[in-house]
Amino acid sequence: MPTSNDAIQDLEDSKKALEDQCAAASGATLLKLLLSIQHIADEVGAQEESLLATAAYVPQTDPFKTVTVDARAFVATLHSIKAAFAALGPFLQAIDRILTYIK
Amino acid sequence: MSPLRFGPFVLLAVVTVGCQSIPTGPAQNFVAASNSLAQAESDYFDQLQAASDESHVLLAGAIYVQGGPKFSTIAPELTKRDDFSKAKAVRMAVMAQLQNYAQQIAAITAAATGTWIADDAKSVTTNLTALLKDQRAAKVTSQQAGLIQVAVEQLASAIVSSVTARNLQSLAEQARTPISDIATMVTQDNANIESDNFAPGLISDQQTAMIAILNAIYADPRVNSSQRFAAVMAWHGWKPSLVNKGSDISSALANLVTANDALAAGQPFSAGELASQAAAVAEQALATSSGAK
Repeated sequence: MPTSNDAIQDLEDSKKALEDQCAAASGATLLKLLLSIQHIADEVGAQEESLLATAAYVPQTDPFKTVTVDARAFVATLHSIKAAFAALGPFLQAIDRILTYIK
Repeated sequence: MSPLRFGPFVLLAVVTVGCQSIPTGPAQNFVAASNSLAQAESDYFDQLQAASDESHVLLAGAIYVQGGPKFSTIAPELTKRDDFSKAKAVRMAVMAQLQNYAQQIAAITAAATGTWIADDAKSVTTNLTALLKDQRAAKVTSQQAGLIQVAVEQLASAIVSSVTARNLQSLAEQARTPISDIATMVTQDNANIESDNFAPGLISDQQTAMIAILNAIYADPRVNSSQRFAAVMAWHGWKPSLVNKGSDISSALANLVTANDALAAGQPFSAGELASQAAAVAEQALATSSGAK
C-alpha cells in the first residue's frame, strides 16, 4: 500500500524534529528547512487519491439489490391488500342491491 | 338478534390478541440513520478535498512568497491538486443504494400505518349494516354496528401489522450483509485516511505553510510594520480546513446497525398459533351463547 502509516509518520517526525532543531535558529533557516520537507499533501496526496478511488473494499455492485427488490415487492403487496380491502365496500353494496330486487 | 350472530365478530376482535405491532420507531430510525450516513460521507469527502486543496494552495503560497530561483519552478506548485471526486462518487453510489432500500422501508411503514384501514372498515360496516337491515333478518343497533366496525378494523390491522412486522424482520436479516459491507468500507477508509495520519497531516501542512509565509514576510527587510500588521491580521482570521466528519460517519453507522437489529428482532409471527387462539375464543363465545339460550 503506497500510503503506509510508516511513511507518513516519518514525514511528520522529520518535520517535528526540524522544527525543534530550528527553534533557536534564524527565521530564514527555519523557512528553508520547512519548505525542504516533502509535505503530506505533496508526498502522499496523489497516492491517497488513487487508493481511495480504486479501493477494493468499496462495493462495486449494489449489495442492497436483492433486499431492495424484496422490499419493493412487499410494498406492492401492501397496496394490493389495501385495494382488496377497499373493494369490500362496493361488493357488499352490490349484494345489498341484489337482495333489494329479490325481496 | 341472536347473540350467535356476533360470534364471528367476537372472533375477529380477539384475533388481534398476540399480534405484532409494526416497528415504526426502528424503521424511522433506520431511514434517519441512512440519511445521516450518506450526508456524513458526502461532507467527509468534501472536507478532505477542501483540506487537500488548502494545503496545496498554502504550500504553493509559501514557496511563492519566499521566492524561488525561477518562476517556472514555482508555477507547477500553483496548479497542483489532488482530485477526490471519484473516491467520493463511488461511496455516494453505495450510499444511494442504501437509501434506495431505506425508501422502501419508509414506504412499507407508510402503507401499513395509514388511516385507510379505519376508513375502509367504516365503509364496510356501514354497508354491512344496510345489508342486514334490508334482509330484515336482524336489527342491528348502532352500538352493535360500532362493534362490527371495530372488529373489522382490528382484524385488518392485525393482518397488516403481522405481515408487515414479519416482512420487516426478514428484510432486516437480509440487510445485515450489505450493511456489513458498508461497515467494512467505513473501517478501511478510516484506516487509510485517519489512522495513517493523512487527514491530520493535511491540517498540519496548512499550519506549517502559514507559519512559513508569516516567517518569510517577517524576515523580509523590505516589509514595513504596517504590512506586517496586515499579515498578522490575516493570520488571526485564518483557520485551517478541518477533516472532522469521521466521527459523524461512525455514529451514523452505529445507529444504522442498531436500527436494523431492532427491525430484525421482535417475536416471530405464527399464523398457526394465532388461528388456534382465535378458534379457542370462538368456541368459548359459542358455548357462552348456547348457554344463554
